Amino acid sequence: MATKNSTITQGQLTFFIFQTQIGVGLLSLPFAVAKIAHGDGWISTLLIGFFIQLCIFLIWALNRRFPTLSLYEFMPQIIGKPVAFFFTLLYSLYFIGIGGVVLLLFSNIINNWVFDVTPRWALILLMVSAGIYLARENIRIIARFHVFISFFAFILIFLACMAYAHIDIRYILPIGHSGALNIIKASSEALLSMLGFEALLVIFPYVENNEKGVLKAMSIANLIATSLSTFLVFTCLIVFSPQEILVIPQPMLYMLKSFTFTVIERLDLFFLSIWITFAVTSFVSYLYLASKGLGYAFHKNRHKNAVWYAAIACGFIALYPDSQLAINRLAFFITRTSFAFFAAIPLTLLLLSHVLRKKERKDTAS
Amino acid sequence: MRRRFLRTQKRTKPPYEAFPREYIKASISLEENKTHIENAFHHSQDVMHRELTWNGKKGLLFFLDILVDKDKVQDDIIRPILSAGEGKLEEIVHIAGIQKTSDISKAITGLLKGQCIFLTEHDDTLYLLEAFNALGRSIEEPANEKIIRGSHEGFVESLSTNLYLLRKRIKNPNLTVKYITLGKTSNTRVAVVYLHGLTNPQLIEEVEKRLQSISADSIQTPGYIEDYIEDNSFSPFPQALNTERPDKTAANIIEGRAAIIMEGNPSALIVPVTFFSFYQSPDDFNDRWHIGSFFRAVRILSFFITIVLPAFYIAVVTFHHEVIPLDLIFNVKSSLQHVPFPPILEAMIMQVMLELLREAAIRLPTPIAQTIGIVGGLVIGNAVVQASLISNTMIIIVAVTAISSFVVPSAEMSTAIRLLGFPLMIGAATLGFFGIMFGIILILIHLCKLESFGTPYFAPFAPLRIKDWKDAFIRLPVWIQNERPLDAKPQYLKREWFSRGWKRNGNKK
Repeated sequence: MATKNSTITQGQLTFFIFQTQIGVGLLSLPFAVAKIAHGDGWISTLLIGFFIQLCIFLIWALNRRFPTLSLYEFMPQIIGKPVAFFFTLLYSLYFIGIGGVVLLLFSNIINNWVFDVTPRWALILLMVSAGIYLARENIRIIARFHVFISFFAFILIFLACMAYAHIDIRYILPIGHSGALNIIKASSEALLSMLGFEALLVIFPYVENNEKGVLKAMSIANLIATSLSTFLVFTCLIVFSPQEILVIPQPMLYMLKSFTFTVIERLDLFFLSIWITFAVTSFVSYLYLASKGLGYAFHKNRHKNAVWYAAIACGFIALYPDSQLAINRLAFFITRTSFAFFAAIPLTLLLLSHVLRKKERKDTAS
Repeated sequence: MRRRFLRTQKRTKPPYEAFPREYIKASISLEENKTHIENAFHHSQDVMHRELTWNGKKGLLFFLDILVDKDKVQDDIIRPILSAGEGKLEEIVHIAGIQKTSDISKAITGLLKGQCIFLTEHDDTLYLLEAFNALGRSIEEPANEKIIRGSHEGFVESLSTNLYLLRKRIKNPNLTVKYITLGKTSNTRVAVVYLHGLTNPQLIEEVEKRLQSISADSIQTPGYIEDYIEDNSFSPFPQALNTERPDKTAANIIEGRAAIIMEGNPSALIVPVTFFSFYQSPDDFNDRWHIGSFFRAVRILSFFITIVLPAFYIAVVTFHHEVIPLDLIFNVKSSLQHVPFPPILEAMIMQVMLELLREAAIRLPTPIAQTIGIVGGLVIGNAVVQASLISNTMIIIVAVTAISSFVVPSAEMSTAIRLLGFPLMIGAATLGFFGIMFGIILILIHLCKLESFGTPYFAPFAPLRIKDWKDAFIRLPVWIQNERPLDAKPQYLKREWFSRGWKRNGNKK
């Protein structure tokens, strides 16, 4: 239950969700969608944004029935304590898993792109310690940080705009050439970099005036995140030819690397440095969500006590895969299972709560 | 854990009380009272008394020789008493502050504050007569907060003068002063000044609560108070604004903050503050607003330069040579060629040298300080480059960093950010840009977490409130800043109503 000092405004909710959504996947997103949808990749990101909007409706409809309770708190009311306990653990594991993937992709990109001999554990350790430092705090402080970091998005957009000196719009023409099926298939590839909206399940009760306006705040967050990723994908697709993009895993960086100015070179390094903050915010969000669940299950709802081992667990997940193949497999696995956590389970819970007439009574809501 | 580790001594009562604080009833015997007072001061020889006859009875006037104004005692107390000889004391002496008490402890405290005690035979009433001698320097401009235009007054060491300077600026009965005596031995008088009805009552309550809970032998400087009452002692950032300027203090009080002023020290502590309070100067409002905004932007820029520039340079020459364009790389490389140290060590050496110079010059008389500046800056600076110990570029970087660190109007913030540069340099030397970025992220997280008396320290950025940017890193015309900043949570925000109505009316005609 939300106490007075740990609520967030709807604006903060927007940026919290935006920062959770925009994370590590962003850099390889153009490559991921272009593999399948080629020049139509940008339609795929729009499509996944639309799909996510539907899921936001679903999660909102579910949480609205329990305005002062988070997912972990209202699950017992619908499906009973033992089953709910199991699902709480499952959700925590899922959030830890995504946190681990964030760490993994982050350390992988830094390793491949800048420091090829720096041990992965050193980068992961840094990230984990920053994560622990922030995720221990209440949601309000985390949201403040996320809002502030969102300013950096302007720098990313500015850097990406540099590319518009070298574009060729013909690369994406004719629109729709790869076929509807491929576009839809590619959009599932884009899912990983758009995950994060499911945080609403847990943070809903902390939003001020959550009776109305949450849906609007969420939609704005999703709109910003979708437009930002579509913009970046679109930029990459018109800068690189369709053959080129298939061999470049991080097209954004590759593109920036080639620009030269009189005072500065290698813009990709600056881009990467800024992008780290986005990785940190995503990681912190997932760490918070996971430790919230573990805290509810084991520590009388004090998430602080759970942050330590949740973060360490994320670190170990990130250290485990030793090859690119294993990394891809893990990312793929997490993306596939995420469907269950943001769509299937909430849908089931929603239906059950309607069938069983389970709803938080208005008079107890404060 | 940490708290337990730091608290080495047990919570015990202080071993002695400097003097009895509890109520001690005066005796009706004059001799007994006299002995009591003299014993309390251990027969210290600056406790004087004068025998006078009053209403036909023997009377005694006690005072601390060095604390009272002799003229006042002679002309306004002794002479009227001698000439009248009888009557009511309140109607005879020419003193504004008269108190009656039967508590000897209170009388003894009064003596320490520069009051005289008058007592008579067969009477347990003690009269406390105000005769304090306010010695002190005159009001001058504070040396470390000079401004170009505007008021040149500064606080002095006397609490009453300082309060006078504030009252002079805010002529309002709501300006409230609350005295608190701190320090069991030093008995320092501390005043909390705020505007009643505007300042958040919870804030005042919190300030008073924290001040009251100070249980220490002595409070010597506002730094003691700051250490006791600040929210987070382990933060590198100062959480109370120290200023010697009455105009700055008054402006902050009108924004709904509280000022804590201490007897014997010319600076006021202002709480709550935000990060940006340290970058504001009264000068901003004496210039036209674009100029004020420009200078403020320069100050904020100086913050980034101070903490990031040396780290950035180290990262570039250690890891990311490729960032430097081709034309520039030869210059940098040639200056680095014969230097035996890694860049991080170069930077550390120069920074330490700079701190040494600063520390050496700060307390010396001006002519010698200048010599030190020349020897340090020119001779050493030139020689280290010629001896190829430090590269040219590093000297430039360190010099720019030092200059920009002194741009901050607040001395403690200036030192704080200069020291923050060191961890970032280490980060840069280990992980290049990413080390710096992680350092910055940690600092930002810390800034978001930090609170000063319940006010978010990094407001109006985190939490975001674009309305309050008008007076944060820029300064817009005052008629646009028609609401107080929210961070101190004042009771009402509006502070300006339609001041430029003439303009609209003029255009209509």
